Amino acid sequence: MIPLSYFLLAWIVLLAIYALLTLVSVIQMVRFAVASSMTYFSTAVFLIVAVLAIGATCVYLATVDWNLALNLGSLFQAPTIPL
Amino acid sequence: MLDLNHLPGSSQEEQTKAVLRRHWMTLLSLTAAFILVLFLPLIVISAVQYASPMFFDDPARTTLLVLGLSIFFLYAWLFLFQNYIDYHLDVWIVTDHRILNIEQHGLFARTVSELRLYRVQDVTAEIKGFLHTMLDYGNVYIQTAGEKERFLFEDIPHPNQVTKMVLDLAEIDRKQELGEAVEEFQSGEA
Repeated sequence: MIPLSYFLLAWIVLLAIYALLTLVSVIQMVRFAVASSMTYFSTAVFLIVAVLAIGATCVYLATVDWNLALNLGSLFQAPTIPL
Repeated sequence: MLDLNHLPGSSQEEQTKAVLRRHWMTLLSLTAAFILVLFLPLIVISAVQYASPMFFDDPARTTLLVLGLSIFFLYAWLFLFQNYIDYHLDVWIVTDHRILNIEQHGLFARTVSELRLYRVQDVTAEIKGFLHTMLDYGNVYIQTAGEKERFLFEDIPHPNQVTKMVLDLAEIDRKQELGEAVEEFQSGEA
């Protein structure tokens, strides 16, 4: 049984790497692109969609009971329902 | 950011005549691939649901799915943006004195090359294929004196118009250069 919070931790680590890569990409865009409305618009759209996706995930994660555990062995078995 | 009014190494009277990028059509295959990738998890989820309808009744599994999906989407979105950056930062700037070729290779490699217009000898437009013909985009090759390698504007919109513009600007620049050279020669003689 693996506590669900371990998966949250892994998610946070992946999110931190994502944030770093995003920062590098946005810096590249802002530093080297030709100054135009399209540059600002595309960067803004990218950031807004990313923030919305992270926000929506966080809203869901706030409702999760992190004391639950996941049995990896049962991942490929449907939960049994008592008759 | 690259300011078109203050290009690197520009003189005060230099005017930007055109900023060229690849045609938007070249981005379409990338966008289609992104949409296809976005559908992959949905296909997997549907397959799991089909094989085991109560699989996601377990809240722990649902949470794992949400964590996985969000990371998958975020990285796919970042991949799309990085490819867009690669497209957006590849740019050809034509001024009344020179052509600047700025190419982005991945995130950390960048090539900037410059060509003086008076050196342009031959400009060729090439439109090949059904889509290229219908949407009027293609390559423009610029040949300079004494160089084997050609300057290439890749998949730009309206290549024939660009060819004409470059040839006209090159002619004007050549006359100016010649005028300046004659003036220098005459002042040297005097």
